[in-house]
Amino acid sequence: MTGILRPQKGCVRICGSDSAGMKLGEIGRRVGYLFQNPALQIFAPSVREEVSFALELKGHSSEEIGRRVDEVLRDLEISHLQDALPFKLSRGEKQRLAIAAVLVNKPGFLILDEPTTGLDMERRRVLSDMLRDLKQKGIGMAVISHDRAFIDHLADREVRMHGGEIVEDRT
Amino acid sequence: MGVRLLKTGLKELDPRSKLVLVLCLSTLGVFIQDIWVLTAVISISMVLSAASGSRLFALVKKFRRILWLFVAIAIIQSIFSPSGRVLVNLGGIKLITVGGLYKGVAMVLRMSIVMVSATIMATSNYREIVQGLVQWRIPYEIAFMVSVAIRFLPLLTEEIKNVVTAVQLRGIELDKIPVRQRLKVYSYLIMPVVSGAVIKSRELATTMETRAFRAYPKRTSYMVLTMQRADYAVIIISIAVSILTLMFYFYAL
Repeated sequence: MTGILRPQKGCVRICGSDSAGMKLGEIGRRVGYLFQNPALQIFAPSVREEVSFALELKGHSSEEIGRRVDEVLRDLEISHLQDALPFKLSRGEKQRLAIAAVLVNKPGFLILDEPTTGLDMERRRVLSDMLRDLKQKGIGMAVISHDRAFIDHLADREVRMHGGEIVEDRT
Repeated sequence: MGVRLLKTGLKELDPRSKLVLVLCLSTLGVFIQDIWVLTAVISISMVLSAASGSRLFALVKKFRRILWLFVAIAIIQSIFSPSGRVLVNLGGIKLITVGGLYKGVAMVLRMSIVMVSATIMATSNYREIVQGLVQWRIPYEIAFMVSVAIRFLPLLTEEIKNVVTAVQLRGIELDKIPVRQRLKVYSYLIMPVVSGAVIKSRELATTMETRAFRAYPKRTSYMVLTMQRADYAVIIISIAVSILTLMFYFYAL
């Protein structure tokens, strides 16, 4: 769906365009993707830089970058870690940082692979509320998760898969 | 039939024979300056590599992307060691000369020989390579380090790929941003690769300690490699041909 792997048959349409002809960067502008293992998508030397990285390259003003980064760091409760080295964070902190780095770009659609991994109950609730907010703002999302309670709270449509096959599809 | 035999034969060789073969080809690549002889050595390396069943063509495909680097190396080498007829002159500076270009091409061929010949080693698994080194009386600790390096190399490549993918999935089109910003993006590759290597090596060290690595001065091994006639033949032929080539190159040419 994010274009990392190309479909062997059929096609994935993103905003009406076949993703096969789109570059990863082009897909990334429309879709925010959270890796299953957050450590794989973290690369900057500080938490703040990790979040602000894409905004800087896209040419946003420093005031706007500061405002958006502060907001997302606060929402995900990692403001106190903004100067920390991302590679030394715990699994849950890395997860929140990766989510922050995705959300700060304000994508039109989100694909979140196991977003609740490493999060405690309280932070799971905060994330769930944030995603519900985004949903109400019209941002679509596909969430891949084993956390049934999290999905039940959030989803309009649930597709259950087993052994690569769809076993249940309900709205 | 002959090609098939050569393919099976080279693949089945003892890793020590392959190591000698690779060392001989690399030595020729390092000492020889003449581009025609280097071309012959790279051709032989490519034939042997393909015959050993290595993923040579996959490597060539991968290196297509950094072809510009090879061209740049050849040109830089040419600029810093000018000699012979001047081909490109810029404000009185001999930018490209026939002699310089010759040295640049030789340098690229030399690098290619080392890389192509190394793919022959990739047809043995790392456990066999370690065992080969141990049976050559190389201390197990050093042989183990070699095996770790071999095993970790693809992981580092994977790590770089992940970062490039992660950067692009944040909406950055690498081919559309200015060179200065692109360089900044590439500088981000270093951090996760280095920190990933440090974290993995720490975890590996802890695991090794818990499994009592070096608890006994001597280790026994279930796997024992035995050299066959073909292995001795490859070792003798490789060393003899290399010595003769070098003697002929330095004394007869």
